[in-house]
Amino acid sequence: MTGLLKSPTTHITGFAIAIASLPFWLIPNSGILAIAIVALLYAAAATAFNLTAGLGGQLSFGHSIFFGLGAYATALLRQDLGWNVWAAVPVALTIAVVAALALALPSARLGGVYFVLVSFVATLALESIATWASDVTGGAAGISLTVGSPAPAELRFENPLGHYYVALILLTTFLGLFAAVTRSNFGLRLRAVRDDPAAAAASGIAVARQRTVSLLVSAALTSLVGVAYLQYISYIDPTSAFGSMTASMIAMPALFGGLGTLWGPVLGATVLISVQQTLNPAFSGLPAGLGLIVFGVLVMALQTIEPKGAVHLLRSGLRHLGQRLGTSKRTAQPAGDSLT
Amino acid sequence: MTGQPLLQVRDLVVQYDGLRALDGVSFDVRRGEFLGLIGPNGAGKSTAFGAIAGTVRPTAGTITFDGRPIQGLAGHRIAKLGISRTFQHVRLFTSLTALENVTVAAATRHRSRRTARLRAQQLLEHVGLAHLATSPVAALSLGHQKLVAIARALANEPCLLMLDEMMSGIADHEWSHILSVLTDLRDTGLTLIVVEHIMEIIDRLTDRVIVFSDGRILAEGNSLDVQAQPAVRATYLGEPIA
Repeated sequence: MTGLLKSPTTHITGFAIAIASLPFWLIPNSGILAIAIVALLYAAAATAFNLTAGLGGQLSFGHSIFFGLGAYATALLRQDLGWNVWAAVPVALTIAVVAALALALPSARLGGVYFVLVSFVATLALESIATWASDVTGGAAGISLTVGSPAPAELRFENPLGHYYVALILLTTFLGLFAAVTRSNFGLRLRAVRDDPAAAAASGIAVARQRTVSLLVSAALTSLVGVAYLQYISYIDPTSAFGSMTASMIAMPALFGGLGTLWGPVLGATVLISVQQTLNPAFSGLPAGLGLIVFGVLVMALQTIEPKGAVHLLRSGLRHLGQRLGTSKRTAQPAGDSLT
Repeated sequence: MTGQPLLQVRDLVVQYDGLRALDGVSFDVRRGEFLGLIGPNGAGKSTAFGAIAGTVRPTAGTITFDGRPIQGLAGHRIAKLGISRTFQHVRLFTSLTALENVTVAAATRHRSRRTARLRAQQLLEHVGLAHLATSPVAALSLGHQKLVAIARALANEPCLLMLDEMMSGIADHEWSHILSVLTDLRDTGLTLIVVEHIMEIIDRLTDRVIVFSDGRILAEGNSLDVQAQPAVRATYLGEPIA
């Protein structure tokens, strides 16, 4: 019974049920529902990012590449060829995986700051290309899809609640996958590579291969978030696809919440996206970079207080509270990546 | 004890910018041999380890393992061929438990997670750490960490095991335990190379010693003969107090 209560599957199921019920009692209006949808989508993207950055230690500042490619591929296939979204998904996913492979092959051996730089340059390059190739992409004006009549089977909903549940299903699936990977041999190898690449290689682990595979999986998942985002917004442009704000909104929740933890990206996305969406109206007349500064300040402030992220801060806070209330029993913390 | 060379190093050069860490080093290691590498800090012992294990890329020279050239191969490929190493500064996977540290290496030989875990448990038992299997390695003493490093290196099922300064920084009460583990390893017939500064270990365990100095081989032979050489005394050991 205790094992079942501690199981990540139980936690994820409980989370899914709780979040699924939220619209019925805690989300009073469409404005808050919109924030919740975006938070869920970015929590999913951050969980995908966490797979390669948190478990594999391969930080990137260009996961917007895969998000943007997923969104653009779907937009173009739907608009120009009239494809169904489900037909577009495998294509979007393949394009993102090919892009990840192109990025990984020259840089996976390098890791560290080199991969951060390569991925950041790549996403900026894609933003420029998408702006320049206006005949195909609509240029800076982007692509506005005709919403058409609602068709839930094609992820077109009359009520935004439909998108809320799509985002929740995506996030829940990613969390389940992350938990499964963490406990697998592959996850163990990724954590070894993250902790010490040279020692991992000396133990017979192909470091570059682990990093590449984790990046491909992560890219595929992030592209699915791009597809879901497009279905929700029905619009994509170079900045919202590949821009530095999008790159931040994917990476920062995991950094803020706790890299390598199951719930860190969810907590991070909840806090950061809520702050960002709330401040958006206040920043509307100000330079675009201000939002990024707010993100950066929040992450740095938290890193100063708790370098392992908000999820650890929350956990130690709850433990402290429990002790003060006299209901907590001090238990030894298991090593390894926290699934809390 | 002796046999055909398992490892042949020829004219090995490792150059770091202006520093020549290894300068044309050649030596053999026979199957079943326990070879000691000694010499002052910066003499090139650990660089030789790194070059053999694929951690350091040689500038020139050849390294042949079991009849196959391995110089310049990636570290994981060399590990798969049967060369394992430990590190001077231990370098365990700090977010993993002792058992996970060993399991992740065992899993490179055993596809089944269950089999790999079982093998890891056996190896931890072998080095006397079964009771600490689920402990985070960061919480272990340095001596226990070094034993986990040995178990992790053994999990790769090596033909050649290279141990880098296993005894440095070890508490007195852990000394005899690690020594007995090393003695057991020697008695299994595994080919071993150790880098060590503690001459008692070299005297008690090794069949042969190579003395490094300034990236070159200064002397070679059994421990007592080598220690008697004036050049070795002058460069590394010092003169005995009268």
